[in-house]
Amino acid sequence: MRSHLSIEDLDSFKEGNVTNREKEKIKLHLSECKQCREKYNIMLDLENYLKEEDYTDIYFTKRVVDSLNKNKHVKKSNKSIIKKYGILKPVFSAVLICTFVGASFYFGTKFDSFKRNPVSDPDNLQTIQATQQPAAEAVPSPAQSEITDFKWVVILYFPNPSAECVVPEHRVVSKAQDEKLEEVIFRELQKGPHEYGKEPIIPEGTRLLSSEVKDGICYLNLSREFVDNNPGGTAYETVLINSIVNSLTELPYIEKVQFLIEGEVREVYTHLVFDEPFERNESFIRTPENTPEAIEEKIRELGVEVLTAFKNKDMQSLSEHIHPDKGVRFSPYTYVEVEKDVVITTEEIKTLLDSDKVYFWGFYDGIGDPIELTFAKYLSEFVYDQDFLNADEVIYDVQFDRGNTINNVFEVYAGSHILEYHFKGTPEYDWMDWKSLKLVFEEKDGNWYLIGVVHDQWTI
Amino acid sequence: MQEDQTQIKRIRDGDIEAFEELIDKYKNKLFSFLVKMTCSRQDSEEILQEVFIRVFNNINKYDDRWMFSTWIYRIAINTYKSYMKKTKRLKTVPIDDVVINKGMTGEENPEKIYERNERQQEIITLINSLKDKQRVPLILKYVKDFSYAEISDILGISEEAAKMRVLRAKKNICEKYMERHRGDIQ
Repeated sequence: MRSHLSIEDLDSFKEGNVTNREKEKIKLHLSECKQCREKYNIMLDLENYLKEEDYTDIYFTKRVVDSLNKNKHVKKSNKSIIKKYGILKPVFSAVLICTFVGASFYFGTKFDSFKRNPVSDPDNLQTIQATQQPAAEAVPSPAQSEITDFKWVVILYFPNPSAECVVPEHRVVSKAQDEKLEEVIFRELQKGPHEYGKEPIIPEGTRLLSSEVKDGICYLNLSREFVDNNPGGTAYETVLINSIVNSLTELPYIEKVQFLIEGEVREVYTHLVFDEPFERNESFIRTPENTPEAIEEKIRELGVEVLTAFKNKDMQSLSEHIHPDKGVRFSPYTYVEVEKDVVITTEEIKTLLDSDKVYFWGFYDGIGDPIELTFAKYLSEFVYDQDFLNADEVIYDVQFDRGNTINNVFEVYAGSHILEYHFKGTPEYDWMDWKSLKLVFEEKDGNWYLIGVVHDQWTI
Repeated sequence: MQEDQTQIKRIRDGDIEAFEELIDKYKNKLFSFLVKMTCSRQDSEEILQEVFIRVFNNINKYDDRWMFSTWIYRIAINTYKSYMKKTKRLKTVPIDDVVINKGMTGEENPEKIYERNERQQEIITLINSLKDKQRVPLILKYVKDFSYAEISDILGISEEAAKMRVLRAKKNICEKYMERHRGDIQ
């Protein structure tokens, strides 16, 4: 018997890309060889499975459309109205902020000082608590219960409307003398957010059976409903857990939260691992400074500053934008060679412009010669070789694969934000004279730093 | 393709209905793609929702010289990646029953159905064990019947590389399956 058929053979056979003679041969082989027949069947099953269609539910389109910011694209004639709204918005929020600042001024300072003094034993808090009482009258409490002894400002985290992050809400709450603060927080979370008038996030009917703090871990013992009435979905669970854990870890004596269901540790919630304590997750919190829009604005500003520094060869200003730990990697073409591309540190760059040191930056496309240049030469040849400050387009975080070179920028710099300055080229050269410069920014301690400079142009 | 361009122009002018039409046109194919990628309808729905929001917010950045269908799949892949990263899903994903127990016809006997589900379950596991480098082109190829040229556009790789990755993916799956069942197939 001849050797077995390869996947290539079977694939061509299936697609009909074989001559009649080959076809007959393969057919014959398949009828005789069980092993190849099985292989062929698996291939067919695999393709059939992949071809099976799945359908979204009938409300899907409506849900998406409802969640859109419909003013994003507006006909030109409507723009003036939007502008008027645009002015109102900040005014409205300013009023809100003033109200809030006024209300929290008293508490704020006290609460901060309380937060700065880590207290390991919750009982010690009682003394601090008492001092807060006088301010109570100044603030209309959203939760006017019978217990009016103590007022607190707590920070609660609730999901944003699209449930991809949590946003803080400061709330004035009442606390009975024998009540624990974590219980108050949980109770307030159950009420749901004020701001969006949305449904509470904690599954309906959940009761807090008990709570205990030991070694910085808050053991939150919840009733069965927390599991049974969970509407499902990993994203929901993630946002729910972040809402609870981030709210509780606002308390100085809580570092982690361990969930118990009816007193028992549970292995998984329904998707998430549940038998270990959860830590606070700052990256899940969205404040006015870290909304995607605010970050985009910030990155675009930084882009202009970095480009200006490149243009003016102002290495001092440039060095301030470079990532303090990682430095900045220069890639001559859009395929980033993580190991090979030149990386320059904040310190090095300050004096590099005058240096005679020749670096090996990669290979010229096409001819394949090594790119051996001083830093200054490289800058004028592979960084600011066009007036990118006046580029045709400035693209934020969208990947375009323009030439033949593999664009792995988004892969290599996952989690970063990427600005692309792009010149479209000219019809004279059939648009092949396009050029791009990509600046990659990464976050560290709330600031964004340059970690990559990727040059791109038409390659062969 | 021309139809897409007119639709996009309308969306850019603020016509929400045009966007609704666009969603209706692409949602099921994209959804099928994501279900094969995640093995979860729930996750797929969440990702898909985000995909359309991104498309809507970035529609001005779409370059008309490219095919819209490849652009939207590129967004889908990026959204999938960031979703998996965000939910930090490293543990193995349980496969939704809904994903498997489909395609049964009334004619088959229960034993056959069982056998077939077992086999499909195994194929799904093998697909999941592939590296994304092979898995994504494989799924793209059969879910949407994309040509290798289109896959190369979406993934930013050459056409030959796209073809090779799909073939290798198939080869991997077939070989691993045969390996596991060496005893049964003689």
